[in-house]
Amino acid sequence: MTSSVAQDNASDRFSATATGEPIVSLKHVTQRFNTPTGQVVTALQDVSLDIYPGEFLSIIGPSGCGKSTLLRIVADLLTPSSGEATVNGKPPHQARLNRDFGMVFQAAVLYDWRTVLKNIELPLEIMKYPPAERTERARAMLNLVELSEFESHYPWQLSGGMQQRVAIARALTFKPPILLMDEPFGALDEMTRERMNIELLKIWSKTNTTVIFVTHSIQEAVYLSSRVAVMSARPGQIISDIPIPLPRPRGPETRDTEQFFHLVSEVRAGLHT
Amino acid sequence: MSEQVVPLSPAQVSEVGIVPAEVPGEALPAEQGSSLDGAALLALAAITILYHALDAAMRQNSPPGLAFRDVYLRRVLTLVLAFVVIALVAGQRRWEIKSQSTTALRRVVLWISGGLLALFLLYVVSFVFLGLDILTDSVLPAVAEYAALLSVMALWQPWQRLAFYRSLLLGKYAPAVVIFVSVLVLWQFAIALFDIKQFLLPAPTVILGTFFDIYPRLVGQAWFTLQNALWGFAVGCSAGLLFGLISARFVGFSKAMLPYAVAANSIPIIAFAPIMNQWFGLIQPASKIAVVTVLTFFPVMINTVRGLSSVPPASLELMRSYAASEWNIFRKLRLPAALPYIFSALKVATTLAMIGAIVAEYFGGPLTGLGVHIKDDAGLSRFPVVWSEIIIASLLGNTFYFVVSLVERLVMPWNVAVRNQGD
Repeated sequence: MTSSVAQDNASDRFSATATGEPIVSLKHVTQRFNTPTGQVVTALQDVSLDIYPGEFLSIIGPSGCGKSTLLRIVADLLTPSSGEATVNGKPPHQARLNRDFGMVFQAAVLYDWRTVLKNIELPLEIMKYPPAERTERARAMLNLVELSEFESHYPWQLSGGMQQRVAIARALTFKPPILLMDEPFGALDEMTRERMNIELLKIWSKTNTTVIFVTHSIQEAVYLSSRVAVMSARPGQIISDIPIPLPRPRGPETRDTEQFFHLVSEVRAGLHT
Repeated sequence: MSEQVVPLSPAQVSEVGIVPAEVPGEALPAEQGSSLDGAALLALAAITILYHALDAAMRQNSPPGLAFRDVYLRRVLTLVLAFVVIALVAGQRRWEIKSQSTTALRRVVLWISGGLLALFLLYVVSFVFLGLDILTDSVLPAVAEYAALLSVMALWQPWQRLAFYRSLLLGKYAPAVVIFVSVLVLWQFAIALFDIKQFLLPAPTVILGTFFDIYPRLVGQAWFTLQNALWGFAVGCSAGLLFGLISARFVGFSKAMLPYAVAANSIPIIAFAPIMNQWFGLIQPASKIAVVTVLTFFPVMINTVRGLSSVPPASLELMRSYAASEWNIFRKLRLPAALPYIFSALKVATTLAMIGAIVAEYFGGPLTGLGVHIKDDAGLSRFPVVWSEIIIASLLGNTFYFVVSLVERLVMPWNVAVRNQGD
């Protein structure tokens, strides 16, 4: 089903490549947790999902539905109880060692002791890039997120939205094919969030990155994505998979189109089935 | 960019359409404030004292010369001065980079005064460390002193900060200053009014007079005791750091050690001083150093472990997502994240070291120590002298604390806690 969805979506300029092999694939993934009281909680129940190169996939669902768990399985921060995950053709662990994905968390997670530029250089330092290239790449990323004049500021001198942009720049600086975003704008106010959405689409259109984006905002999911996967709570399952054929590039006016409202209703209906 | 001192000007904020929760507009003056002024004052004092120590004749005659005759004291003072000069230059440079207000003239002044201070330091080093007497009977020491004093003033530029001092004095320190002055005045009047005997409470004026009469002797005694405190501090803090690192690295070791460390931290370790006297010799410095070592060891160890292991989970996950090695995680995440904890322990340890070194001498020690004299003079009812000894002890303790907190500011200019505290 998922692959046919992707083909329906082929008119979308940015998922034109969304055919052929999926870049991230989950097959019958189940995740159980043991609670301290001895109960077993099933966070994910038999989840299968394919994501194709160049896609922008949002995962949406009520809180506690396991959408973050799903992302953490892809990121090798969790090992599924059963089922199989493939990331860039490899098991998640190997993909992590190969640095196939970048992560953005709900909090920016910038290191207080590093300036903005040094924060963006962090992954490059760990991956042993030569210093000159580190700085060059970090500056290019800083330019992409339009924070060039803040490179020598410390994180506490930036606002929440700016910090999150630095976090995105940091995740993209080593050019990973996949970007995993776990409610990155969840802590921002509505106005900032909408600005950040525009910024993110701009960045996405300039890079070839596949994005998996976890959110609990329907509007955000529809606005950003080429496809939205809707999850139900307890146990977490994917209950619908909705392509978003809104034309690109999308701007603030996209939010006012009838098609946008229609898709938002469709996703909302999907959530309440 | 009209407001150049504020890190994030309102223009920039509105440009990105984001209103941050708090723009730390006051941050820069506060950060600059106390530490820069303290460093400058300490530098001025050190230069003046070293001038008296440079001149052989002054060391025989003038009271400050007599007080600072000890060559080791002069060496430590030279090192402190060197460090404070570095702090001054670094602080000024950082400020200028941030405020982007460097003019060519200002930069020249900065380099000249920095260079002069370096020359002065070299001269002092040649005298204090190498034992050379280069033109000490000429006019050179005096010229060097004045040049160094002027250089510090040029680096400090207190006249540019008058508005800041006024706001600080009126806003922040006014209640404290009022309390301090009124307590002193009340104290003085109460003694005259109720005819309080000197063995109960001497008047502030009497204490101050006694202090200036006998301070060359006090400096010698305090220096002897401070040496014990410094050695104990060095040994105890390094051991605490080392054991803290080991505990954070090896879980088994930590499980075996940490409960005892936490328990030991709440024991009044000073009670062991008589035992240390027995073990290491009553009049040996080793017994006092041992007390200070044990006293400073536990807080530093516990805080090191706490700092290294209290890294936010998300920061660790970020490192994991980069497939970072344990060594990288330690060097780039755990250690910098632990620094605030370690430094707060080191600052506590300065106080503990002074307490330990003085109180350990109450249980007996060589007649050269400050603690022994406090106890003896109190026994002989020489209370103005006792109060003077307490004054010198608190002066030294404060200087010690200040130097460590200056190191903290140099090592972690990013620390928000440091920035907001402005002590």
